[in-house]
Amino acid sequence: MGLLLKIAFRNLFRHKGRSLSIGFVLVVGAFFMTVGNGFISGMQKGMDRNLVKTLFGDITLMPKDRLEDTLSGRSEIPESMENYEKIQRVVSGNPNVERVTPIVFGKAAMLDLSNTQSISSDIDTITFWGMDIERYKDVYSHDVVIVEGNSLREGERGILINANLREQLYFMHDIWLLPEGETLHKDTLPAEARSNIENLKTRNDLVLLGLSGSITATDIRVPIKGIFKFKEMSEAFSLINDVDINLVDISTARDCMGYLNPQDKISCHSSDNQILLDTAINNPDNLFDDDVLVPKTTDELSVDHIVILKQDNESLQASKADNKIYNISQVNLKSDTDLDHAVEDINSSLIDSGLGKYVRAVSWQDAWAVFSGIVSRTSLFSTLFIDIIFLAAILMIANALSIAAMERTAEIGTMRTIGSQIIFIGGMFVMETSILSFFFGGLGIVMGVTAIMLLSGMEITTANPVLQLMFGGSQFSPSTSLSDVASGVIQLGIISVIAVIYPLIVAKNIKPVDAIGYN
Amino acid sequence: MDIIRISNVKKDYSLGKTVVHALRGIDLDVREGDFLSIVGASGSGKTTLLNIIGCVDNATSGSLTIGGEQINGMKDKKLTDLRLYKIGFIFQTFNLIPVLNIRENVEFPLLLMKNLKRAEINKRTDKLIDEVGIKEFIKHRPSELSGGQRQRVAIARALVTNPEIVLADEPTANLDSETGRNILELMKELNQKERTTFIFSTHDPDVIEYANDVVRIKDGIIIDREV
Repeated sequence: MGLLLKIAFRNLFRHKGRSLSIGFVLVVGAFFMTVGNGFISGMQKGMDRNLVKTLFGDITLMPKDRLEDTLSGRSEIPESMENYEKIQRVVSGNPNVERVTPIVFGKAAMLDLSNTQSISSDIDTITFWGMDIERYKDVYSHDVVIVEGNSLREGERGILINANLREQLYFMHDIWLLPEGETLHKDTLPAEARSNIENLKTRNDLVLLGLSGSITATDIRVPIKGIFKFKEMSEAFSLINDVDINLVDISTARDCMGYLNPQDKISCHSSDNQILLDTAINNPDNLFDDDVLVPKTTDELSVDHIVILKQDNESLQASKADNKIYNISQVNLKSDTDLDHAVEDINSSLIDSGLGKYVRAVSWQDAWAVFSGIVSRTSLFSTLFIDIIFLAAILMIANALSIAAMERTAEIGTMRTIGSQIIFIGGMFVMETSILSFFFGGLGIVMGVTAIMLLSGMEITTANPVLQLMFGGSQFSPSTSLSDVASGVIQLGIISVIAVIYPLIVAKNIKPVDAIGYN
Repeated sequence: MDIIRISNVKKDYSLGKTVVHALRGIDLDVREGDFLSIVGASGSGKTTLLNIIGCVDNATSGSLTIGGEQINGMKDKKLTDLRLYKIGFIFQTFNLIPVLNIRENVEFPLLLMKNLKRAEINKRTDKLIDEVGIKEFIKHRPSELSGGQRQRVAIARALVTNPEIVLADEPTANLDSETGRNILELMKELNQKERTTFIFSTHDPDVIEYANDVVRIKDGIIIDREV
């Protein structure tokens, strides 16, 4: 070992130019690898802190029969989950679960927005999360900033409008939404509105018609209680999700989506199917009687899915109480819990308790695929970039060492002649590559870690939504850990091994007799 | 006692469609402690014969026995060990390892040997360095030495393992006549002192007078042996 080290070191010094050029590529590769990993790590941590732990939850529970996993963008609104109370009990009992937060995830048409609005062609929709304010206080305390008006109070009906939506509505309908009891603040207006403030129309409520497919979805006038932004990545969220999330009290959300008490939903028994079908075909006017027959959703026309929904004052009254009807639920895991394992574990426990037919657990990466996709695409891009540098390093090292092997035919042949086994010759090349990787790669890693610390210490902030996504928040906080450094060292080790394969083949083919014939 | 027995050894090289018969059937026995010279013109086959004796090249046919051990069909690992423990090599172009200093070059084969203690390595190295007279150069690199000095280092390296045979391919070819004579005298002295068998190739008639056994080779066949 000592002899190998001595020969390797001296050979590297003997060919300084070649060693330095290989070293330069290794420094650059290791530097970008460390910084790239730090950048991705910071982005992941930022997203975890600013979106996953607050807005998304690590895991989302959704109805079992939902066709898609994703909730992001303009995806379908989930149906309500049956037996939610039992589901909540089972999931909360999982040792890895820290918090379970149920939500009514809804979509509604905003009616009567402006005189120019045409009901048939230009319905504006709003996406909202209806929630129990007390249960959701972690989001308020960590991620929601009220920029105007007030937050929702326990038991109060109302909506918090996302500041991005307010601006969009202004540009589309010349309407400026104001929280109840608030006066117009000039400084919050867009520049265009400020110059024409006398003609600005304001509103402090919205009329929402739930788009759930249920006839119990009614149009509800909802007072605007406040305007909010997410503390981090508010614009980035809008940019990526394409839809702004607004916050509404749970009762309004349920009324809007027509989520009545279970006893108000009467499933159509199979014996009734033919009667229902006959009625629908032969006497469709009967469908508009007091007891109304409608498909659950407009696109589900199968008789099996037809339900009888009885709408009366009594059921609407009942909906005002907490009927425990939700359509999604966010599950936050304890720190250091393996996500995939937790998803598997929760799904297993739901199946074991007979609830698997109602609900399934989905990781945030699947539920909010558009966001996790950005992390994975950025990570892939960064990895590709680093891989290209390392491929260049591997080719350079392999080429340089192969030439070195050929140049050293006499030396290697002599060594073989006087008794060196092939493994000794191989060890010589492995040692040379390892020394280069260790010193130059190590230097690159140290430089990368220093750069990460400097960049992190500079507290660079941005309001640009694209950069916010890249940063995982408004502040650029690349981070690195011992495990990142260890992984870098392992990668360098792998490079050394790959790079030395071809030179070893060249060296192995040098026969002892070549030493004698070579002058 | 014969330390080397060569029987009907042939060696052919293919050069495209042409086959060159470098050795055409060599029979040769070498006694232990001999100072044998293989003499012949360039291209006569003397280097090929030395390579086969040194187990660095394979014969096309025929058999070779070294110290009673049949070499034909021996695996590379075993052949390498045989070269390390039983044979010392002296090259025409010295073939020292350029990144090692003189002392390190001499001790190099000992470091390849298993289970040899540092003290033993030092003892053997010091003895040989002393015997070949290169003590004052031990910290130098080969490039800082003259041809004669380098060949002395090569001799020390060849003998440091206490081999049974030392093979030298035209050891004086790259040296001036006086240095060449000194080298041959040193080899002869070590041959007599250690009873090591020396086989060296040459086409220099002045060199032949040092040998006690002269084998003349021409066109791949031994044409004369003079003991």
